[in-house]
Amino acid sequence: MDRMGTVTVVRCPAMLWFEREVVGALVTSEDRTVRSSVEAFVDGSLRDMPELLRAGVAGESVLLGAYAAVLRARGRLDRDGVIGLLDTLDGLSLPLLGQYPRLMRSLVLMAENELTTGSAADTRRA
Amino acid sequence: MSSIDPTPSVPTTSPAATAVVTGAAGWLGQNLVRTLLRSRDRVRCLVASPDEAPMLAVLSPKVETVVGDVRDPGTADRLFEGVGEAAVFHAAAVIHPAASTREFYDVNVGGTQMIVDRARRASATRFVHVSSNSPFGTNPTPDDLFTEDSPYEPYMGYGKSKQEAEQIVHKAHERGDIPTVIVRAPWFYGPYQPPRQSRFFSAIRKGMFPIVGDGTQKRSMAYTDNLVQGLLRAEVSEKAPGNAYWVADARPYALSEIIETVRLALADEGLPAKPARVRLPLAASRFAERADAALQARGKYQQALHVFGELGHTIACDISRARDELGYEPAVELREGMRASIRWCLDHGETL
Amino acid sequence: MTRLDTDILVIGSGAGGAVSAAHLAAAGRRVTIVEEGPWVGPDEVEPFGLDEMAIKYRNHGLAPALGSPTIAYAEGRCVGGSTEVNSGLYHRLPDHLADEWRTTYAIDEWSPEVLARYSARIESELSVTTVPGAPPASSAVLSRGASKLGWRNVEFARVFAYDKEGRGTKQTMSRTFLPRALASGAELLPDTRVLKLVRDGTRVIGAQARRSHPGGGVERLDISAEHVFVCGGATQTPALLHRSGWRRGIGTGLKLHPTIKIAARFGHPLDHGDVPMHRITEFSPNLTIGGSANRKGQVAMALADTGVPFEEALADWENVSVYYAAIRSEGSGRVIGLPRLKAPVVTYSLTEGDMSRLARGLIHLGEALLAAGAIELYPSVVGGPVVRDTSELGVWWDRVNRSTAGLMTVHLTSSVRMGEDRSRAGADSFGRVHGATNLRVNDASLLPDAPGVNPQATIMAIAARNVDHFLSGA
Repeated sequence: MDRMGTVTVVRCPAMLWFEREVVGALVTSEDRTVRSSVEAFVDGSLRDMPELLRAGVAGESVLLGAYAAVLRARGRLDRDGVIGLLDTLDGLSLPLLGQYPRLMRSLVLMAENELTTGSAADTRRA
Repeated sequence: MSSIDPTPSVPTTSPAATAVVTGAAGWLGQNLVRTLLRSRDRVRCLVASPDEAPMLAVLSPKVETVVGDVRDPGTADRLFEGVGEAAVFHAAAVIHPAASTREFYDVNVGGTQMIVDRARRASATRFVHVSSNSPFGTNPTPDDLFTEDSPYEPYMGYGKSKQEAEQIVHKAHERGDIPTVIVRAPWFYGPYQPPRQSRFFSAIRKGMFPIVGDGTQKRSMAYTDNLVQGLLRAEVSEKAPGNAYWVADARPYALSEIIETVRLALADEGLPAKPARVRLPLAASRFAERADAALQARGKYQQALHVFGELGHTIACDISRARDELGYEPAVELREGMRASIRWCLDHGETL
Repeated sequence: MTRLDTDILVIGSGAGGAVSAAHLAAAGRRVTIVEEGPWVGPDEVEPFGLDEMAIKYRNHGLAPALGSPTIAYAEGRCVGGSTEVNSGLYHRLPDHLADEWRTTYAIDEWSPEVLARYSARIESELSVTTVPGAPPASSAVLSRGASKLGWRNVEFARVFAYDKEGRGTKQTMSRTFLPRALASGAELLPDTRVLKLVRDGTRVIGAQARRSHPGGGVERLDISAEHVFVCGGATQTPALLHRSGWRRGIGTGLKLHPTIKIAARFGHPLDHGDVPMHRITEFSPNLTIGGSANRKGQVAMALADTGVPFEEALADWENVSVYYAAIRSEGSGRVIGLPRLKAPVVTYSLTEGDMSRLARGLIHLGEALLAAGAIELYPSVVGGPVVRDTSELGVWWDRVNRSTAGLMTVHLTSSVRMGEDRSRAGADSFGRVHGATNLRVNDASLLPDAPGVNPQATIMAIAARNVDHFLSGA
């Protein structure tokens, strides 16, 4: 169980290894707080996903993870390697597999940009 | 033979000095442009591809061509640029899509919206919209006729797209944007026809064009000059704005009569034709119609299947209101009109 | 396991549930509201920010309606439901749609006049108003662009109340109808998810629920009730009914507003706090153009959706705002509740006519934004291209297709349609589930179609009307 302020969020299974790799590669900030907060947000999103979607994403993460593990064993999995892998997937027109990079990128983009909004202009309300 | 300009019997306004025509290089468009050139100072024509421009430009220095996609905002802007107060004749449409039923909606709805919008901005004097029987489906019996009060019952993707186009055009009038008139044209025939029509003649010559069912189902048809007359009347009739009119030959023809009349017309023009010897049961046509529907539901289109499915139906309309309010009077009927079409084909080197 | 007895069980505390509960309780009935989500204080999280997505939305704000293409949707999940996270835009159901629905779906005692009466009542209990003074720049973009093109546009009203200093507060269910319900004696159980309705033939006799406690425990609740109003929204309501054994006409005919977007970059900064309240209505009811939440996170996601490099535009994010074109769709979808899964399977099938309408919407949106002075347009279409001039827009017609279009929606309706035509409706003219005696639906699921405008006004009016019908003893 987690507390966020006065609100409780129920948690389920954890982020997979490859998903952590992807988040790590996609986050541009070097700031450790930002990096871990982004990972926490993606983690929360993955846990909170509709089960079938989570299963599909997890399945892809396992498959891609296996491939990535091979690359790593050959010393070829750095940040660019992960991004290259995502770009290749992006280029495939496969219905769900092709969505994986977009989904992960969206989550990281949303989180990282929200966490690094420094401007005072953005929260002005009507 | 054509009688486009007898004194109309209804109150009219003056035609605009400039006409804007979309679909100008099409079957109807070419007939319309030629007629317009007789009386207008300027006829601005939208054609889809560059190779279509010269055949219109060569007709007269009064012709201006704009090449582009009717869906494209930039093209619509160019089409109306500096056009002054003009009458718009919107004939651009997709009847038989090359690849997907998506084209129906992109062109017939999207293109219509684009042209209506620019016509409004250019303060067009009138917007005459070429529509179809397709939004109304088929008649329940061979003697039933569509009137201007018939409800929408769209036939497949083409019907739905033409219905939505009519609604856009009508709304533009209702909101006071432009005076609009909808002209509903059925199956038309006449000069400047595309290759598929030549195949129609060839099939009848060989006796291979099928009589579907007992051949008593009726089809309204419109000879191109009759249709053009209707469009021009719609532009000037004072009563017309805000209304829709069925424009066709004086009466609908039974399918067996159509095939027989074309056979006689071919003979008249020195091309003896065999009697019709293919009869297909109505059930086959209904099957084709269901297959057409199933394909279209998946976004696909097969022209032959569609035409064959339609052939089993009566699609006929009543032109009384066009007569009364537009002063429309069809001057040509089927045999004469088919003879003119056949002559045109022969003059253009077609073998039938 | 705790037992709980009540007269009327209301499941869900959103627009439908809160209005139902308030009116039932005001009439002296004993009402228990159960809400799956948490109670979140009004100003605890920033609207459209990360915490709001994590806490007040179902699935962190991301769920798929599977199809070609898949449509991403979001729903609220908290006390007050989606009203707590929406834009607050409020628009009554257009009269011509009310007339059309009456005849097409055979809805009894239904007319624009009836709905207007209930809408007026709802409006007297909320504050529905346009923005006092000048609307924000991000919204004025739409009115400016539309006016330049001669397109009709209007500022929609919102459920906002303004104080003397001109500060606005959104009148969500947790600020309005829920406190009324509680003041009339209703009880509200947050963090309580109904697992299954308990059935006895054609009667529902209660519900089995699970309540989560802040400390960490989970409590099983066995609720018995004389009447049940299911108000979980267009996906949760049919899913619950499926899990409880009611299937006929339930979960089919789902409708939504497929929406396509553009991140538009301007030469000047824009505001990023509120969702624009202007709408371009030139192409209504089939096509509506409006604006979206545009915090830095949303801007980043929208720019990325074009699938081309966008770092420069992102660095300029304060000059970027996100706009959309939403359509009424010919297609429809399904909601399927599966036994052991919390999340229903949701599918949606778009027709070729829908895809064309989306392309058309995108292009008209592009025209308006360029007319308003936008310098770059990033469409939610993979591969774009980015457009900088009207002459470049035509390319988008062929670029928008089932493989490239990035679509979303926040309005889902029609999965348990109301009406007397049982072949098309899962509930009757007043929300009573066909084939059940004391079970009602009273939320967005009932709407026969997606209305082309924000649905909350319609949902609330229908909910109030149906409660009156229930109270009259019919």
